[in-house]
This record gives sequence, C-alpha cells and structure tokens, in this order.
Amino acid sequence: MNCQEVMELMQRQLDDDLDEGEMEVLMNHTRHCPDCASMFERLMLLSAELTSLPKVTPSYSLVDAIIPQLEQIELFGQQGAAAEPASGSNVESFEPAARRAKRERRWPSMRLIGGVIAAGIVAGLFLVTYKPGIVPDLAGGKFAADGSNNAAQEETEQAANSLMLRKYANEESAAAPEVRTETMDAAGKSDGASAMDIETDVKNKSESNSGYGNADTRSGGDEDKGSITSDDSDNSGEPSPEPLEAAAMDSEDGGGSNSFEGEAGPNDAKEINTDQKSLAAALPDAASPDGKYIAQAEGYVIKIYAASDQSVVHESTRKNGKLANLKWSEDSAELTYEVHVEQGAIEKYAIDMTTGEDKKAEQ
Amino acid sequence: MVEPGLIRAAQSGDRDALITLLREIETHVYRTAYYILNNEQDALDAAQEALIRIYTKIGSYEEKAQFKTWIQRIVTNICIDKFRRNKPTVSIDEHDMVFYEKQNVEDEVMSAYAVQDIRAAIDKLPEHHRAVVVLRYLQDFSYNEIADSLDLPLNTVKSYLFRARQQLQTLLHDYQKGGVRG
Repeated sequence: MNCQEVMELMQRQLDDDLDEGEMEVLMNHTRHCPDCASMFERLMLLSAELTSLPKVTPSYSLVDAIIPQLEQIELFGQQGAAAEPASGSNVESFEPAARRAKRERRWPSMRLIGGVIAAGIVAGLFLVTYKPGIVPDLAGGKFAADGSNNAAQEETEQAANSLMLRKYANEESAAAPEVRTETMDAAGKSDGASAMDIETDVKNKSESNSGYGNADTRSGGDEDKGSITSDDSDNSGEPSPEPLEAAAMDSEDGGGSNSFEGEAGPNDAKEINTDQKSLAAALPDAASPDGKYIAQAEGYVIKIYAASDQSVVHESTRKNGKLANLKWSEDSAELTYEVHVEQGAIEKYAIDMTTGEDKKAEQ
Repeated sequence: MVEPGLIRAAQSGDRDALITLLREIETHVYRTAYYILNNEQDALDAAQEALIRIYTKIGSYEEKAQFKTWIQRIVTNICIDKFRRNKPTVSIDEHDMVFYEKQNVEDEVMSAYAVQDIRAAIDKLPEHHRAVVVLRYLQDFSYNEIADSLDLPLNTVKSYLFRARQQLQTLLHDYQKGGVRG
C-alpha cells in the first residue's frame, strides 16, 4: 500500500470511518513510514483543533430581532389566497433587521441632500426662465426679484395686490442662498459686474418688495439706470442710500405706493433685518415685548426669529389654515396665534418659549 | 435536536410552536454562518435571513429528510450566496496582520491565536470545502448528513473534506513555521 492510499485511510480514521482491518493496515504503515506518521499526527492535531473551535452564539436573540418581519409576513400571508407561494416569494425581499436599520439610518441625510438639490434646481430653473427679464434688471442694479415680479407685473398697478407680492418676495428671499449663486451665473456676462456688485443686488432683492411696481415703468430707461446703479455698487461696502432712493423713486413712478420704504435700512447691514420687520407689517407677525424675538407667519408655519441675529429659534409644525393674530404674552414667554381653518373655524395655539412646546390653547 | 412534535405543530400553523422551534435552532444556524462567513455581522445577517426563510418555508419541509440537514441546507445556501457577493471585499491584508501579530505573543495567548489561524485558514478554502468542514466540525455531521445538506454526492463530500483538511494542515503548518513555535 502506497502513501497516497494510506492518506485516505488517515482521513477516514479522523472521521471514525475505518473498520478494524483498515485500521491495522494504517497502523502497520505509519510504524514504518515516518513521513506518514508525522502527517497523521498533524492531521489528528488539526482535527482536534477543529473540533474544539469555539461554539459561538449570537450576541442577541435573532428570533426576537426578526419578529417584526415575521409579523409582516403573516399579514402578507393572510392577504394572499395562495399564502404559501406568495409568502415564499416575499421572503426573498425581506432583509435582516440589522441591515435594514443601517439603511434607514442613512436615509435622512439622503432626503436632506435631495431636498437641497431639488431646491437648487427649482431656483436655477426659475432664474433661467426669467433670464431675459433679469439681466437688464441686474445690470441696472435692480434685483432678481424684480424679474420675478415681472411675472405678476400686469396686476401690480393696483396696491391691492401688494400683500400677495410681498409674500412672494418674502418666499424668494428665503431661498436666497441658492438663488444668489445662480444669479451670479446668470449675470456672469453682465458687463463689469463684480461679485460684490451682484451680492448687493441680491441683498437689495430681499427688499425688492419696495420696488415691486417698477419693472414696467422702468423698462424704457433701463440702460440709464444701469449706469447709475452700477456706480452705486462700486461703493457697495458703504451704507448706500442711493439704491434705496432709486427704488423709492421707481416705486413712485410705478404708482405702487410703499409705506415702509422709509424704514428700509439706512445701512446695508440692517437692510434685511428691517426689511423683515417691514414685511412683518404686512403679514401676521409680532415682535416680543422684550424685543428678543420676532414671530412671523410664513405660509402655514410660524417661525420665531431671534431679533439679534435673525436665526430661527422655533419653527412650528405646518398648520392647516391661515395663521393670524400672533400675540406675545407680557413676559414674552408665550406666543399665541390663531389658525383659521375652513368654514370659519378658529383654533388657538400657544408656543411656550421656554419649552418650545407648540400646543392648542384652551379656548 | 428538535422534537418531531414541535415541527409538526409548527407545520400545521401553530405560530408559537414555529417561534419556539426557531429559538431552538438559531444558535446552530448562526454558528454555521459564523464559520462560513468568518465575520460576526455578516453571520448575524445571514442567520436572520435563514430563520425568516425557515419560518416561511416550514410547510415545504418533508419528514423523509432530517430536519437538521434541512435547516443547514438553507443556511449554507444563503451563506454561499452571500460569500460570493462578499468575496472581492475580503481583505487578504487583514489576515496577514493576524499572522504578524502572532510573532511576539506568549504561549498562553498563543492558543487564542491558533483559533484565529484556523479561522483564517478556513477562510482561504473554496466555499464548498469550507461548508463541508463547518458541517463536519461545528455541526458534527456525518458524511451522509453533509451530503444531504449540501446536495452533494457522498464521494464528493469525502473528497472535499479530505482535501480541505490537507489544505488546512498545510496552511497551519506554514503559519506555525512563520511563528514563534516554528
């Protein structure tokens, strides 16, 4: 018997598969063949080590972990008349809970990124669409939002629509960060317009509601105004009352009277701030008695800003009606407001500033 | 391992019996997955997948087969599929590191590293050879039970097991020569 054949005997011996005769053959061989003897020894050692490998157990109960999935399978099974094959095929798509949880954890950020991208695309499309209207406006130092106002321009001769437009412009300014970069691209060709230039334009944009009635009347004289305002933008670092004056003039031209132009910031830094205040006059909003917060109804959501830096300190959930009658308590600790739902019903809510709780107030 | 009565109850739609049955086998299912996949997280995933499949397919189990080979067939199939998917990501470097670490440890710790060596060596085996070794040593299956589980001819099981052991012996012998003991 050669060593190769003995090798098989060794292997089978490890599995207790030899009868007595075969066992004797193996022993006789290894007694005279040191190579096979040492090989047999090593194999026995290996087999012993394999046998004593740790008997691992799962770190948590796997059955407990899959019970939610099993319950789901039960539901599927009950729905389908052909329960057996149906549930069988469903199973393939069920994944272990742990892996699914991982995926879910990833989701929120994906959704967020998706939202930001979508917002960017919308803003980009919007500006591209209105490019013809915007470019002269920009050259004229006169705000992308004017371009947007163009869309509604026909109706804007009447002051009656001003509220709606202000709201529109307000929404615009909320999207400002995205809009700004897009604006730069769109205005990239506008002659000699520096980034600074455009930035001030965009800043102005947020107060563009002060000039909402202007695009029509200005259309003839855009080039002139372009030269004027691009001069302005050269010293855009300074407080620049001039564009504001221009805006005021324009709005007078356009016949759209504007009650809060005067309030519109005397310097750049405060422009947006005061602008929001002035918007506040038009939309239901309120400053807290201690001056720390400004509450504002934006669409169906109440937002409370810190007066100091305009950061949002509270954002309510979306309500299903028009928001009105924002009122602060004397100590500024609570903001009450009303939700005017359909059929004239009014629901009262209160936001507690210390806890951030937004709950229905007792009627 | 599992009472036939429990299996029958589970098959006849007794959900509690089925859950009890799953609890009884989960460790066996996990252990196979752990040694085939050589990774705890993958093993947990694969074992859960196997238990779900057992839950839904319990009706298709026929008593002429052994229940334990039936469940091992399910878990090894899942693991081998998984292993195929994961194979490109298995890092050889990782295992090399384990072997290097071995060099300056004392004998006492050595036995623990020997387990690492064995696992690393098993990990180097082709998937079916590995499955045969795992069923033979972790489930204590006979040639026939392995053949049933893996749906392989008896002679193939033997030749896989013999070759696997020979290869493991060679690998481990090499590791030992590279280590302090050699």
